[in-house]
Amino acid sequence: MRLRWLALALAALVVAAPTVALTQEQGLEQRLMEAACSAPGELLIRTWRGHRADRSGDLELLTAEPDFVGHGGLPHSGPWDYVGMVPLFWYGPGFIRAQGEVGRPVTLADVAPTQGELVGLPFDAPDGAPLVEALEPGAGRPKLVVVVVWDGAGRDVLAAWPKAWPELRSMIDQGTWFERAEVGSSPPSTAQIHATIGTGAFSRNHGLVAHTLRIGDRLTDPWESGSRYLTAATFADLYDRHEGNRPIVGTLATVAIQLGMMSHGSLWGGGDRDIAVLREREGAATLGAEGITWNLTSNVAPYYRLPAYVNDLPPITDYFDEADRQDGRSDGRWHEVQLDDASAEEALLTPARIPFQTRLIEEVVDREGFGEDDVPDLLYVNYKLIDEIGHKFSMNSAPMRDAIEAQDAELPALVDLLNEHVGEGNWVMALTADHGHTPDPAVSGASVISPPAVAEAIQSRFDTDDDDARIVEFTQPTHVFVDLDEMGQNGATLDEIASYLLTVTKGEVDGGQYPVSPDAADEPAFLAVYPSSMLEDLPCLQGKIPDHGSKGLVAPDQG
Amino acid sequence: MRLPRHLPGRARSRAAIVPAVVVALGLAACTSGGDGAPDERSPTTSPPPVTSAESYVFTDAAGIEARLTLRGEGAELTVRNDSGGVLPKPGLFVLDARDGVRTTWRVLDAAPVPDGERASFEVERSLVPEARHIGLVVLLLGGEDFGAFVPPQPGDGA
Repeated sequence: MRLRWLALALAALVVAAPTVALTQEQGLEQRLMEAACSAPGELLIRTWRGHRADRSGDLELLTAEPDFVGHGGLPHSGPWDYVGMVPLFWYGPGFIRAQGEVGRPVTLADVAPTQGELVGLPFDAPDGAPLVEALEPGAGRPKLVVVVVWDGAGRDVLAAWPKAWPELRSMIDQGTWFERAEVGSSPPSTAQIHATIGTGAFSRNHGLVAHTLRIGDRLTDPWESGSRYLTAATFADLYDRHEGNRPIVGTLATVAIQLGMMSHGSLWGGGDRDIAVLREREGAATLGAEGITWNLTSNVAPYYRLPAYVNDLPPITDYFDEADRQDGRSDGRWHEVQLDDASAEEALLTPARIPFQTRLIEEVVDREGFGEDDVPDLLYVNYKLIDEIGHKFSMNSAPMRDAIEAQDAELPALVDLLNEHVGEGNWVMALTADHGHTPDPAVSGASVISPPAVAEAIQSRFDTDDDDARIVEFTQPTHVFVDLDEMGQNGATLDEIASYLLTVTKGEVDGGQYPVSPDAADEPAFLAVYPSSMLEDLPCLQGKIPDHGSKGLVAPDQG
Repeated sequence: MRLPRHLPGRARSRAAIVPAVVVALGLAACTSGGDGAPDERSPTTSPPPVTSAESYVFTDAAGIEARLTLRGEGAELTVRNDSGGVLPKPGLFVLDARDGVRTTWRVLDAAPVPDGERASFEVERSLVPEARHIGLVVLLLGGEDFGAFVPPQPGDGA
């Protein structure tokens, strides 16, 4: 009898064991979902819009604001308002309503469809819609639509220096200013948001999810192969082809990751080599590394056209006097940069680069004939000083104030040159930014979590098989890329790693660059950590994603 | 090969699929040149659109090379795998050059490609877009987006 009971008990254990294990697994998942859903809903929606299962990291990291994950220069990566809210100002007498502020929430995915309305080719963008309240009813087609990006000049950056942009402020009532504009997705950095401007799609749909993304087994950068990883149409792709490539389409910017706001160039079937003028270093180790000569790197050169004359223009050193005076003192310096001795590269950290670029714009607009005929042309411009200063000195620094002042002071010059070459009342400009910047931790009181320290915490806890492979492939401010095979060989799961990271304290992942205060050292480092694949199933997003999300997902379903 | 990550499964797609008529190999190389040198010309009008791209090339730093050749109403996809691991089964989608709408092209009998091997597959193309209206052709492996093929470039004589 006793044996029979023992046998029954053993049988019950065998049957129950999988159930118990499943319950524990579900319990773990439940806890991770609860942590994720403790975050404000809009942060999760932005994250969902920015995520692609095939290309994004495997674990989502979210700190409580103002904390952030970063190492080296200050990042601008996360779903928070301070990096995601941006100016969006439309100006164009005769085409754009002079009404000042509009309060409706909009995103940068709305820019391309609005261009479509302006030039008469409606664009059914995956995530955007025309900003019709900005448009004068019954207006004809402008000769030129210009999109100007003040890189890194998010609303928080402008709000930190409210007196530094009088020119833009003075123009608000002459156009339409979207007071609640945001980039729309997270993480917001240059490549993905410029692609959102161009495609009317968030990263989820255009495919450029971050400055490090996964292609198969490799981690790479979004423009490694030119525009080949941008697998959604841009408005310029469609419009230029629709008009038989008669429109003049061009981008005057700095680095290839900004080209997503324009086009695939001749990679697009029936497309031509649109004009692109950049200054990116060939083979640079980091994205955004600038050179001083206008060029196209070999990954993009086959698909775009670099006009020959652009390097015949005055060099940046010709604008040193202007930069010198800009900070209020003619002392041969602009903040840290000694202009007399500055290399061209150092000069790029001064306002000298702004008129240097505006001179380029004037030359290209004139010589290429932008706005000369009745076929609307498309011009895209990225000015990058504000972003550079934000990384180098922070948005709270005096150089940032002066950088905004210098950028703002150039606005009348840009308007004047367009009036002169295209004609007053013949053009439209949309001015925006691709992201904001992270406040200096000394100002915000943020605890800064070190990505390498997060990686090492995972490694030391889970990677115990003593081989050379690492579980953690790469840690970004918002993601951890995981080698799933290596993780499996160590008997770990994403849920377990995420659950562990929720117990890690700020003191344990303090990288030392911005030391965590002793008072905060024992606090949890993260508000939420969860497998990225969980985003689709978060209960707090159910019923919300369709309202805020995509009309037409382009991610494939073929295996 | 790392486990495929699953992709969101919704897509706009066009229904009509035409069975392929597939012929032999014989692929034309058609990657473009372009050396980054400044263009001495500054034309005020652009060259006419490419309207007859029939062969597309895909190369990847991981050691993957694929070629897609349009033939009649079908196509042939050839994948060469020197990646060091097995490639999951291939797939394709195209973006219509006129409106950007995505359409899946079905790779018949799609199968994984072992390392060091080359495999050819017949492809069923949809009625829309026609070849002259292809905007991008995108390679999928295991359902993951590996990026666009390169069409012949203006000046290639395509």
